[in-house]
Amino acid sequence: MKINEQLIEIQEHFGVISSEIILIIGSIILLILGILRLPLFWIKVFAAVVLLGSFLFAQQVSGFFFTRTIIRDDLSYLMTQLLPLVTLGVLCFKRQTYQSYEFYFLLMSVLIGSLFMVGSHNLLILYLAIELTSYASYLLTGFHFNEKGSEAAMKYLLFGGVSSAVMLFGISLLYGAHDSLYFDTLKFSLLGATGLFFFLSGLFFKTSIVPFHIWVPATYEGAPTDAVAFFSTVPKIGGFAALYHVFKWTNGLFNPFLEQLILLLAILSIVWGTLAALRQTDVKRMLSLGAVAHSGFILPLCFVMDTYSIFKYYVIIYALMNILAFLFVQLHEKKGKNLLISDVSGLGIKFPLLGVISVVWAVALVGLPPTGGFMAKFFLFSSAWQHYESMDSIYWLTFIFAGVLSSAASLYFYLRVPYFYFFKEDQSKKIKISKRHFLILTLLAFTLILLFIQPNIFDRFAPMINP
Amino acid sequence: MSSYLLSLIIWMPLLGAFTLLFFNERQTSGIKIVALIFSLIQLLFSIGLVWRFDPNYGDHLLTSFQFVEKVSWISMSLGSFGSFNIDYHLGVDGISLWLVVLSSLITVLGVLASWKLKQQVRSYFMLYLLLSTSIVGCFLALDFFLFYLFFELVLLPMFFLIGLWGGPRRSYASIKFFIYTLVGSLLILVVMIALYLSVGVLDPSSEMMIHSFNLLHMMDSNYFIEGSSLAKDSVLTFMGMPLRAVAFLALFLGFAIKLPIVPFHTWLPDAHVEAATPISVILAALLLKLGGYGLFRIVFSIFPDAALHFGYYIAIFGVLAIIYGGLNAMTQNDLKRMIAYSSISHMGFVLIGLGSFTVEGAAGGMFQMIAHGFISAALFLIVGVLYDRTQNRKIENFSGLATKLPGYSFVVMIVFFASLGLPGLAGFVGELLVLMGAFNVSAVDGMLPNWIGIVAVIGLLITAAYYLWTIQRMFLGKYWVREYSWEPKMKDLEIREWLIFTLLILGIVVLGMYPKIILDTMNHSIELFIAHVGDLKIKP
Repeated sequence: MKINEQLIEIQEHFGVISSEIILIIGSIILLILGILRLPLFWIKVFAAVVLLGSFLFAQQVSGFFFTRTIIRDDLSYLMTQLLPLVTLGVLCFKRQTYQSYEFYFLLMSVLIGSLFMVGSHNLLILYLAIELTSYASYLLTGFHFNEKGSEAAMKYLLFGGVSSAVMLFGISLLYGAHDSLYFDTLKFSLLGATGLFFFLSGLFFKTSIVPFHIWVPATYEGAPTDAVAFFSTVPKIGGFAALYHVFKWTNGLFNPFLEQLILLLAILSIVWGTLAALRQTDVKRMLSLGAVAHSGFILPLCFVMDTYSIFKYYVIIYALMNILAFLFVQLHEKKGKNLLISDVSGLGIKFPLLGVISVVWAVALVGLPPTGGFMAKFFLFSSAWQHYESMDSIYWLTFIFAGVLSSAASLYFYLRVPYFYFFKEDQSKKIKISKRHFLILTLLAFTLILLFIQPNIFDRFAPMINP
Repeated sequence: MSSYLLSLIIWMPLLGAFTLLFFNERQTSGIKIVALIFSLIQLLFSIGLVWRFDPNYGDHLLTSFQFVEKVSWISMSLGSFGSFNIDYHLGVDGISLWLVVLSSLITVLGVLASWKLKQQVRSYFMLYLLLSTSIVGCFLALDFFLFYLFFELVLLPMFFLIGLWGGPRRSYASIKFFIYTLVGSLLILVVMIALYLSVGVLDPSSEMMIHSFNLLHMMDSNYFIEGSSLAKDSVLTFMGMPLRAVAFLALFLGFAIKLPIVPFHTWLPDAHVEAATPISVILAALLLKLGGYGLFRIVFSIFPDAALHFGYYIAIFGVLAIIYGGLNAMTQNDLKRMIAYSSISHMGFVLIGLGSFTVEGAAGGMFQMIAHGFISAALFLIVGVLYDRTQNRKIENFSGLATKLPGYSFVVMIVFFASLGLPGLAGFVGELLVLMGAFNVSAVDGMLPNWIGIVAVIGLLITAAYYLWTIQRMFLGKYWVREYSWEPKMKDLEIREWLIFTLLILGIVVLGMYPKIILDTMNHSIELFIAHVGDLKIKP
């Protein structure tokens, strides 16, 4: 293909990634507006408009674009709808310390990176997208500008740097083995499998699967809470969607051994995350380890191919409950200090409705009715059982039992927040709650319950092209 | 037969809970009256249910359900995973009928028993009514998913009711209760999923397999998909055991924790002792019945083959519970703890009755559950009376109460004697029937050895021993209480308490003197149940 034909093709394809383009242009304008010292309120409004625009202009098409480097399908459509909305949810929450326009710029950069992560069909594009999210994330982590924040950012940077180096090494091996960087041209070979292994460890780092999760507690603890709410959802879900694509298109590369290895990692994440969370007193740390366990639940959904709907359901519910939990934590934080569980003791008498909200997210994260969290886990286990049935593989059965038992154990730590809220008698604690925050939390909690009673609503959100 | 009676019974308390939202926290008497009215309406509806119930309906277990309501609730397509269907499916038969009546009656009595509550009245009654809805929902659901939903929904209100209005170690007890029963219900969840994927109907128009949670389909081996993991011909094994047997054991364990069986019973004494009196009443009279009912309706009906195989061991667990619970009860010096252990002991009879696979045994097990519902409610209220007055319930702190509180002592005597199985009172009938079943089956085909019945009788002796000993220590002899300050508070029963006790004792006496009321309505369903479960036994 001649270069000018390629250029014409690229020009024609710009419409396909309109939501990404809106975000890119919007974030640049945001930076300019910031330099012009526009009041922060208007910058937020502008950012919200950009996010809404990218949500509205998401294109539902399928196929390969930009000389086969960008892929569009149901999944990427879902992500271009979901991730901006999640970001919008985070944006609506006021930061308590250090407000500046750069924060919103970085937020949007991570979002852009995540969206490209979902849409890439080429290892290098994927790598670039991951780097974009990572760099913005390192900066966001340190946004407290105190010692703890810097430590967290430093740790994140070091781990992230190593993992991206490993990933790049894996990509180079893959390229050496197949002479190509497109997902669908990868075939099975020993070199290729080794490369894939290294490459995947980079993605596992992003999605906090167990041996690659060490950065999670420290980073989540030191970073500003709204940034954590953002990290634990947008780039992570983007990472899982990228994993889904990798597994989908490189299907030939798979052998049972790799599948077992991945299931093993999933089981390990579930068990480790749950056990480590049991003894935490810092709520954010506890939630972060719980999120590691949830990564273990999502991971198997990425590589069994027939579960797009379940993946979609789980991811949406996960985003909802995580955002709700972290925003709830942020609401209770005092200036720059992390929230300890004992800090919420006795608040239930004065704020019974907030207590009910805490019950909702805790119960949803455990996976109990009547919340969407139950449905998500229910679908997951159903799918796992089906795989066990068809393959008679002990790994799937172990996965089910590890999942079930750790759900029971996770009750203990998740429920500690509502437990302290209601059961401890302590009149000294005070918090200030604005009506707006309360409204957002109530809305999220209500959605979680609604999604249990009528999960059919999902079929209407980002509908599939060929259901 | 279309009727919304069952829905009305289930949702009436929840409607009451919503009504309470319009009340102010300080309008305590209004809140109590609303709770009482709504639970009374529920009771009236369930009495109406008994009135209209046809005791000889249907000729097979699967067609014997009355007042059936079936509406599609969730129906969503999950791509290649197939479509996912949950029905709102209710129905009642002779087994669940009396449990529904029992639970609405106990709900009313529980509201009366909480009449003196002072702190956070509104939240208390909202949770209480929610609890009532979910318990009755369990008894009436015919869709496994719906059942599971109600079964889990019991946990949350119970957790808060124990944890917020309980005694000094309430938080420990509530967490323990929650985690124990959650482990059980998660086991049930896994089996439920496996069953869902194994049961299906072929849709004639689209040639697609439509899975369902319908309990009636799960009970019928014709609906199992050939080659699925839990079908009768399944070859899948887990650690060398056929998967059907494993699923049976997991399901059995899930419900048995709730019943409870002995190695998994430790949540019960803690929860019962720490909960406030009305909540202990609900726990003992209704929550334990959820476990027993689940064994009847779900575990045994769905896996009759595995149940038959393990029947002997189930009966052994029953004997273990009777003896171990009884011996433990004897050593307690806290009256409430003693009664909690006696509950464990009495639930053992349900297991023996089920394990015997006879009509007598199963009917006895069912009757025992209903009788225990009345008796244990009265027992915990008895403790409540003493605790209300003195904030103490140690057996050794009281003596000779019969002279000081004659009315109270009269009630205690009747209830204790009912609990230890005096003929003519409710406790006797169930135990007699169970023992008849156990001895009968050992005589007929030797499924249960004789010693099971014999040891269970020894268990009855132990029960008699600890009750009589308690009566001797606390009520006979010279009047004496530990603290001088309790003296002025030692007053006999007031009118509200008399009302509650009269209703319960009336129930106990009627059930004991004239068990025909219950046995006649129940008998047909039990026969169908045994015909379904014991179906395999007759074949060589």
